[in-house]
Amino acid sequence: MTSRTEAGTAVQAATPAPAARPAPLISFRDVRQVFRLSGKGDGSAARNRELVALQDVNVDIQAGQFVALVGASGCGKTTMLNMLAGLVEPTHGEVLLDGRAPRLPNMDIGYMFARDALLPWRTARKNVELPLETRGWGRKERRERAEEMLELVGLKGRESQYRLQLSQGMRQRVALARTLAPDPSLLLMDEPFAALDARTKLTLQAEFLRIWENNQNGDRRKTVIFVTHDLQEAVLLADRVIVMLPHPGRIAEDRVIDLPRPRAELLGELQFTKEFQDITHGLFERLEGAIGDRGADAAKQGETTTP
Amino acid sequence: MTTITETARPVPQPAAQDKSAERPAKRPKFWQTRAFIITARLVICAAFLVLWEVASRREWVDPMLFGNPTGVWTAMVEYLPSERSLASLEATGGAVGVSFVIGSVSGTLAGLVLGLSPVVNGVFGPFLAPINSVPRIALAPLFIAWFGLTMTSKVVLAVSIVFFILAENARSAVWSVDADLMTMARVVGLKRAALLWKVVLPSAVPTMFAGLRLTFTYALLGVVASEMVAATGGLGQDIVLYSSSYQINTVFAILVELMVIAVVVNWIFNLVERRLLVWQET
Ligand SMILES: Nc1ncnc2c1ncn2[C@@H]1O[C@H](COP(=O)(O)OP(=O)(O)O)[C@@H](O)[C@H]1O
Ligand SMILES: [Mg+2]
Repeated sequence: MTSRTEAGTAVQAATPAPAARPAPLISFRDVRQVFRLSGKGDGSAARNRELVALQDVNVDIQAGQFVALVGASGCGKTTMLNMLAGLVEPTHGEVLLDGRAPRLPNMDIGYMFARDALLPWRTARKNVELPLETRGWGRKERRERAEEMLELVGLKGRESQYRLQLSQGMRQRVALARTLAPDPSLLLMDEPFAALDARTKLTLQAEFLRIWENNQNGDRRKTVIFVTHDLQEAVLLADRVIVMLPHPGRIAEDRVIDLPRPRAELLGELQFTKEFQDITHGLFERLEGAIGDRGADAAKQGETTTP
Repeated sequence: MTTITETARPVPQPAAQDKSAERPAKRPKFWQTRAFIITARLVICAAFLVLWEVASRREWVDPMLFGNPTGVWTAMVEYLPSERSLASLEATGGAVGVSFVIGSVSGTLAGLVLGLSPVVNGVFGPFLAPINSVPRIALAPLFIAWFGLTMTSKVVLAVSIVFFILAENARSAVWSVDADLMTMARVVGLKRAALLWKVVLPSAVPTMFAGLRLTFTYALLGVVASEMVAATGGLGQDIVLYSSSYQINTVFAILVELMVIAVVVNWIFNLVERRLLVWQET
C-alpha cells in the first residue's frame, strides 16, 4: 500500500531500512508563538501583555494523512493553520512544509474558513472561479471547473446566486467548492462546519469525506489538517486526532484513529459503534478533564503581565 | 446505507427565510395601511398650504414677508420659465455638475491612496479632519477675491467641501474591508492590482456610494452659498436679489426649484444603486 517508488531509492529498497519512513510533509519543531497585546482596554495604564498562543508544539504529518486538531477556543489551532499558510511566522522554533518554511501565497494550498469569506458581489460560480483566476486558468476552463465543483457540492442550479440569496449551509458549500476547485494537495480546514445545524453538518461532513476518499486525482490523497472544537467530528473524519489544550496552547494527546475507511457512507452509523464511543470517550477525558481541573489557574499563567 | 445516503446527496434546500413569507400576514389595522399613510401625508400638506394662504390673506402674518402659496404658484409659472431664470439655472447647475465630478473623482482617488498607503496617510492624513471642520462657506469671500465673479470661485468652494468629505469617506471604506476577506484573498494569491480591483474596491463601493449621494447635496449647497455671497448670476444670486426686493414668492419658487433638483438627483442615485448593488445585504 505504501510502496511509493521514488527515483534513486532502488539501492535502499534492497535493505528494509528501519528509517524508511518518508520525510514528513509538515513538521512543527519546538514551535512557540507569542502575541503582544497592546493593552489599552483595561482602563489601567497601557500595559504590554504577552499571550502565549502556542508552547512546545512538535508534530510531524505525513503526506496524505487526514489530521484533526481538536481543542477549545483559544488553544492556537487557527494559529497553526496560519503558520502553514504562511500568514504567521512562529516566534520560536520552525515550521516546515515540504522541507521549507511556508510562504505566501502557496498555490498548492486550499484554506477554508469557519466564516465563509465569500465575496458578496460575486455569484457562487464567480466565487469558485477566484482561486482559478490567480492560477492563470482560461475563462472557459474556469467556468467549466466552477460548475463542476458546484455540482459536486450539491449546488447545481445555484451558480448565479449571490451570497445574500444562499443559506448558511449553501455558503459553506460554495466555500468548499472554492477551496477544492484548484485541486490543492494540502487542505487547511478551520472549523469549516462549525456554524451549521446538526443535520446540514452531517451532510456536509459526509460530502466532504466522500470527495476526499474518492481520491479524485488518482495518485494520492490530499493531506488534510482539519481544525474543530467538536471531538466527535474529529474522530469521525480523521486518521489521527491531535488534542490541544489552551493557556498556553499545547498538544496534550496525539492518537491514530483506526476506524475503517471509506467512512463517508457510514458516518451516521459509525457514531453509535462501540469502537467509536471508546475512542471518543478516552479523548474526551483528556480534553475536558484537563480543562476542568486546571483550566482556571492555567488560564492566568498563559497571560503574563509585564508592566 | 439507509438514512445517510439520502441526506448525503443534498438537494438544494429552500432558503430559511422562505418560511416566514408563507405565513399569512396579519391583517393590518386601517391606520397601518399604505392608503391611510399617503392620505395623511397629503392632508397635512394641504392643511399647511391652506393655513399659510389664509394667514397671509387675513394678514395674520405680513404677506410682504411671508408670501402665500397662490403667489408662489404664480411666481413659479411666470418666473421659472423666464429667460433669466433659465440662465441662472444653467449657471448654478453647470457649476454644481462640474464641482461634483471634479470633487468626487479627486476626493475618491485621494481617499483610496490614503487608505492604501500608510506613508501617504501618515503625512497627509492628519490634515484631513481639521480642514474638514473649517466651515467652508466662510472661505467664499476669499475664493471670490482670488478668482473674481467667475464660475471658478463657485466650483472651488464646492470642491473644497466635496473633496475632503469623499477623501475621508473613501479612506475609511478601504480601512473597513472585512479582515476575513483580505486573509482569504491573500491565501488565494491575490496581490496588488488584482487585490485592489477584485476585493478592496468592490467592498468599498457601498460606502463610497453613500458618500457620493451625500456630497451632491453639499455641492449644491457650496455653489448656491458662493453665489449668495457674490456672483454675476445663478440661483443663489437670484435668491438674494428677490429677497432684498421683497419678492418673497419668487424666492420660494426658487427654493422649490432647488428642492426638486435635489430630489430628482437623489432618485437617480437610488436607481443606479439598486442596479449596481443587487448583491448588497441590508
Ligand atoms: N494576531 C493576533 N494578535 C494577538 N493575539 C492573537 C492573534 N491571533 C491569535 N491570537 C490569540 O492567540 C490565541 C490563539 O488563537 P487561535 O489560534 O485563533 O485559537 P483557536 O483557533 O484555537 O481558537 C487566542 O488567545 C487569540 O486571542
Ligand atoms: Mg480558531
